[in-house]
Amino acid sequence: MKKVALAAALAAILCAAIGAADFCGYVETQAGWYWGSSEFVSPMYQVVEGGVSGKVGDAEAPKVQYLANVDLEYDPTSGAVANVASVKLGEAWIKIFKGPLDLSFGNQIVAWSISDGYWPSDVVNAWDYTLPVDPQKIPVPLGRIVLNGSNYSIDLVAQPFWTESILPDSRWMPPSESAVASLPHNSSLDAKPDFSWDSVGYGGHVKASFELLQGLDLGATFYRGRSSSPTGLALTYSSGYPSGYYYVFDRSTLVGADLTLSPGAGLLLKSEWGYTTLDDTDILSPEDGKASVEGVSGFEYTIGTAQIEGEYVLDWTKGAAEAFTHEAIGIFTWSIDDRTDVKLASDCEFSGKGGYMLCPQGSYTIADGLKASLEAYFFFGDKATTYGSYSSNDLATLSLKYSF
Amino acid sequence: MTRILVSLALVALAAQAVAAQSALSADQVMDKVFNAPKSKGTIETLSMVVTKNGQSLTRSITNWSSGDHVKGEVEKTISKFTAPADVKGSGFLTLKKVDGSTESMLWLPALGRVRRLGSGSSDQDQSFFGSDFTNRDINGFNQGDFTYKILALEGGLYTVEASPLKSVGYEKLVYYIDSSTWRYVKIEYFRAGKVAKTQTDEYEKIGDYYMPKRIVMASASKSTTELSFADYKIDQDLGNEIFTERFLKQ
Repeated sequence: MKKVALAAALAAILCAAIGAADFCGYVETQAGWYWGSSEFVSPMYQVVEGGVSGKVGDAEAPKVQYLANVDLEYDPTSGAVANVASVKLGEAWIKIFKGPLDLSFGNQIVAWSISDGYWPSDVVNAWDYTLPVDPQKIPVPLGRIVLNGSNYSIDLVAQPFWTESILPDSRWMPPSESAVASLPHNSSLDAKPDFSWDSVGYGGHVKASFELLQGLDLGATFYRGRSSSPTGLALTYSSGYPSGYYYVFDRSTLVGADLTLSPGAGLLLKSEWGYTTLDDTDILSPEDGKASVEGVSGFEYTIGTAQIEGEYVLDWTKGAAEAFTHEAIGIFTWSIDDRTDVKLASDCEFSGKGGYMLCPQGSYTIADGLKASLEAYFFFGDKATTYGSYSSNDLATLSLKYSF
Repeated sequence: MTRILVSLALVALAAQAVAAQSALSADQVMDKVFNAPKSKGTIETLSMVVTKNGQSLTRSITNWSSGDHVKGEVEKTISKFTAPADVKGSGFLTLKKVDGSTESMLWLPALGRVRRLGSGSSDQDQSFFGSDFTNRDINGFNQGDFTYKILALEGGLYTVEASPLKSVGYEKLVYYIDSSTWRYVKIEYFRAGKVAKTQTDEYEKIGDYYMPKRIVMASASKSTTELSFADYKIDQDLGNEIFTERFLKQ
């Protein structure tokens, strides 16, 4: 609530000082059902987002830019009355342009990853895993400096406050955690530090562009901070027996690199790799389970208003029972006309017993700013696999969104 | 007597002018069209209304553009959507190089990400944001990609047939060119021997330039797209800092 008040105050001060601002937002109603059980998908978001944004100075060379969004959410499926309606601060930042530098402060989203289906370099923001197969970034408080060169940029961030990701409910719990999940969760023991130097995150991304073929971008990433998603589970004991569990959020260090090449003929090639170590283990000789490599390489091919994307994902964890896992992601999108878009996404796990997901989506623009969307998720595979364990979670959602 | 002499002189001058006009070859006419003076750097707002089956969708865009392909310069364009609200803030950066290749980037504010786009020759034949225009219709054709033939000259209006030397998405084009401005006021786009689309153009003179004021593209399939231009700022010194990812994100 403090954050909302802060954002409102910031917006009010800016509007008063500047006298000109854009007000915009959206109203969205969404309903969803689990295919097998006709149970409603929860949370069933009914959202009103309102925001103010604007620039100070000339449109071509502004001195300052600002944005503040607030979400009011209502969930009729929530059992707990206190949680039925909530107010959340979305992106809320102020950016100052000084020569080649952009200085920004506030709740921000950082996008360093270049791929569409897997994001090894996007480690700054916490994630909302409410629907774990379609995670959304949560804006987090940051100080950020971007140096803009003629064909390069250096983006540095400092994250003073650790933010935890929103985890899915138990029906999405991976099979490896299901036994533990039956124990009571002791949230008071979660490693959720308030401000401490140990939890401050910092890092950066450097990008350089070259005139090779129809454009080449090379990037490098470094980030060090406390992981926003659990890096493990720990048990509590009573009389020698497990009596509960809590999540562990280790410090992590990421070193990554990425490449995007547009060779022409409608083709785009991408590759992105990240090496992560946990808990300050030695980077070169890490302990088992404390180091991992995540990589994604793929292509996009555009023909007409249709686009095909294929991505291969490799994940290696040192010392894990199954050290290497492999996935293939396929995305087909087609804008049929000025109103209708369809998309089919799939993710196939090749490792172990395999498993896969299919996600068909469609949207139709009814009128200016008014769009209806239908999407479904289907999961297949052995129960021991991630997608196989979701097989009773097949779902469909229908939403109507009006933007103003 | 003096009046008669003056009248005769005027008639002679007019006849000379028509003779001079009709003496122009098709290539000379098209030289005048393609080499018409262009604003060095232009800022404009554009409203696009697409109407199909009686239902309309509107998009508003602000464009910054500079460079002239004819002069061997890289043509640079930034387009930012200002309406409707669901696409407001998103934008494109396009660099059309002298060799004909195109470098494109898309800014998606909801994702906080600039996305490089793969571009190919087929992109040019695709619909411009679901409208009746293709990207090539919007970006303009290259003069050297056609052979030209004058079909008629009537009342100062040249009718010129353009037959493509390479694939441009159409069988042929027929331009109707106003010889007082050297701007085309209508283009018919042919496919399979029939007029597939008809474009009509209106201009307004701003400074030394005739700038598009309203362009309507009517398809044989009964859909139409109307582009209305406003708020022109011409001969702007748009430095390289405009055509960057940084400006795209602002």
